[in-house]
Amino acid sequence: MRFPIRFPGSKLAGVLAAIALVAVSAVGLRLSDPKGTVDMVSGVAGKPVTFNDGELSVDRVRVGTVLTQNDEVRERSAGMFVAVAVTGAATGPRELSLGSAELVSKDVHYKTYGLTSVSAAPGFKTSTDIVFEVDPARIEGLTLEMWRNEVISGYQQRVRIPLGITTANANQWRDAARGWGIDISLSNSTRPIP
Amino acid sequence: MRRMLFAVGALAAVLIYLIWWVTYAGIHYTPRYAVRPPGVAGEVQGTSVRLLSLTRAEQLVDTSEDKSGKSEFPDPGGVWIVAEFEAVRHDPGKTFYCDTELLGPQRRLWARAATGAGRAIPGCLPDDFAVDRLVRFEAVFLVPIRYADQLAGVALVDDSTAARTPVITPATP
Repeated sequence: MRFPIRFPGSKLAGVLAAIALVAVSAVGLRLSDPKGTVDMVSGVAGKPVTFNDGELSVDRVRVGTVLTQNDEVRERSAGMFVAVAVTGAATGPRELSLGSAELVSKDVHYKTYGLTSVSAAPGFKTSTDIVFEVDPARIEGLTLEMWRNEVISGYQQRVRIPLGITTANANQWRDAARGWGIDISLSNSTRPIP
Repeated sequence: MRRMLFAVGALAAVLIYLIWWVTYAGIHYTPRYAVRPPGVAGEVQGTSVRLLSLTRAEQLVDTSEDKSGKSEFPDPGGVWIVAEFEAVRHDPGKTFYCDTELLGPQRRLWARAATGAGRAIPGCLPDDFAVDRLVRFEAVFLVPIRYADQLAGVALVDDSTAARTPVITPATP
């Protein structure tokens, strides 16, 4: 091979056009991928965490192996269910809409069990249960992460709230879940912020 | 040389497109409103809509003829806002989808509330709007009390257009 390589004019134009197209694709992918541009807002269970659109708090954590609704068994788990009662308050002028949630334990990400979203109009707060099915062997450090659903996001905030399950007390949580039912009959209420 | 100019032109076109798109998205990400003078109708989806009254109510009374519903109180800290409209659809090629939202301070928006109270004036249904027929309808909103005195009007929302959303207000406050 001889250097310098000399492209004919038509080839050079093609290469430049290809670079331009790749650049456009990269920009599009970058804008639609929230990872890397996420601003994590951390808090603790029982206290409201303030973020752009309002506040989010974890009010209660329940564990069990059965989900019940109106006194009927709706689902059983070979692992365990974790129901996280959260309250989202739209304290700002924008509607609160947290359409995505995960429970994270180290490198394990648990998706929600069924569709879940926390949304409230300005000046209102809403409480709901978010249910996850998890592996009892991997619950240490379980942390709730919630964020707004966005097709294109240049800047996104995620709220992270640890549930208080540690290596020291994980066995107690596992024991508490065994054979226990979680009632999810009344799992959603919305009211004005006092 | 001509090929080079073509490549540079293509790159410039891509850059212009990106700049245009980012600017357009920036402008249209935040809803824009056009507040109409009191009593003046707003135009949306081929329909003229006028706000007759915007009333605050501590209790939503059953005003239906057969009293089939029930009176309802708002949640503590909230208040009902009852909006009464009249509308005429004049474009047979378009459908009015009844998308009305209450506009408050700093662009706060509230959607219509679902209530069980029976009402003398019906709610809005797109099928009720025959061409050139005057239709009267009502919408009920639940808003926090602290914003009830700061309402800008009712927004006639049409997500299919980038035009400013008309906001109508009643002739008498």
